[in-house]
Amino acid sequence: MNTAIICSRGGKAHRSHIMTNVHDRNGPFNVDNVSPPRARNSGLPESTAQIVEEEYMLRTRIAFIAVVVLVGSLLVPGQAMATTYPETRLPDNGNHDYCFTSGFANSRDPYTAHYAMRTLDSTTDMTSTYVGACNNNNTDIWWFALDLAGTVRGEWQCIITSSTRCNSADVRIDFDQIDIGDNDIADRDKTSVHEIGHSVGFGHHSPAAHDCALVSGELPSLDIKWRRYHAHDIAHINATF
Amino acid sequence: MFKRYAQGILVGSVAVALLLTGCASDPQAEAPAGEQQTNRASATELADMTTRGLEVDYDRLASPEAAVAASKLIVRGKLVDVVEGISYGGAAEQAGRANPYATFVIETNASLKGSEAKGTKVYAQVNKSSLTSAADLAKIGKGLDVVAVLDDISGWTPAPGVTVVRPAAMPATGPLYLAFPDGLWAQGVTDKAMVGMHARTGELAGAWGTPQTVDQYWTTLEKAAG
Repeated sequence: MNTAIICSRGGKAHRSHIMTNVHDRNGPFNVDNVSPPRARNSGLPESTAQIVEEEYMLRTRIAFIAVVVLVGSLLVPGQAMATTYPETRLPDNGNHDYCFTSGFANSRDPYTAHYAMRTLDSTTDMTSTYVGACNNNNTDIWWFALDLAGTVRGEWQCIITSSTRCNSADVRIDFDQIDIGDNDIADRDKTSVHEIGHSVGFGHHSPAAHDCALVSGELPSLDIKWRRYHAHDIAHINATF
Repeated sequence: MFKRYAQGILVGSVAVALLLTGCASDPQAEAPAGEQQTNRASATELADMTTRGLEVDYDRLASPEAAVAASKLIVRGKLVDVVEGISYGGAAEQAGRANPYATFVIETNASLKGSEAKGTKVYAQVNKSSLTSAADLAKIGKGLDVVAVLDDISGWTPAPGVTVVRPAAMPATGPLYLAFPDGLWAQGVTDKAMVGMHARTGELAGAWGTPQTVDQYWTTLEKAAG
């Protein structure tokens, strides 16, 4: 908007003429270009001096906008260090159907899977569908609950591929490992959203890049952002599905 | 002329901003980033192959001291082979639809914890993609310089009724070692820095400092072990 306003101001012919002269003589960022009083006091006719001053103001505004755009791009959280997309295999389509193995259905918190799928459904253009018990290898996500070895909290593993896409994947959750520490329910939800994030193309995102659910390890705080995808990630999903 | 110049500045700055924010579209967006680069060798390629279609969320080793305390064995050596990993028996269907492990065979040069003699082979379980085979990993991983922080999971039961079956290619008895997700780093002659199979150097907790090579990582562990 600002660009249009600035570019529409002033007489086009005069501006082009003056700018051509200035540019050819001194280059666009010569110090002579940033001192309108010089034009006023240079002995030039008043009308010419006004045009030079107007050009100076115009250049200043453009330079300011350029600086603001560049600095802003560095300061916007999560976008300055954006990751490539996809970082994992994309799912086969925009609807994520999911099922529960018996171990997961009888685990301490099967609701966390619904939370993760609903989060995907409600915050992106993708949809999710619960199909009940797992018995179809084409179901996109099979949820498991088990004791994963070592310090692993959860994992996503593509099991069946279709060309470059993932047709069906396992998501495995270790509630005992997740429940070490505080805020267990929110931590489970973060982990579930995290694993589903892998299933839609995301790798791990450091807090410095994306402060979202794709951060590794324990829930940093109860801030909802750790149980959500970053706006940048959502834009990628929505552009894909 | 001036208008063109002014527009040039704005368009240029917006283009740079888009690049900085990563909003430029990926022309090969159909294929995962790791799979687009097939000419990389050694540890980088090994990690890509190991994690193809697999992501692991884990609790980090908070410091070198914590790694020493939590582990049963820490070794440095050469990766001499990759063979099949443990599999599940019994009610295996409760643990997943694929075997998620490979066995990394490390010929020990030195150990910090435990007492593995030089030349001893250590068999470490590593989470592995189901889309690649152990043989594939062996082809590109043999000869890498490796540091492994290992836990002993000999008594591990993944879920009720699920048993752990050792592969024939490793000893039937003795400790069953598992590499911590952020405790297995490798580096080859073509790698500028060490590469984690499931972790990036930037994911190491602050207490680790900023080790960039397996030499530095090993030295950090040596200091922590006293």
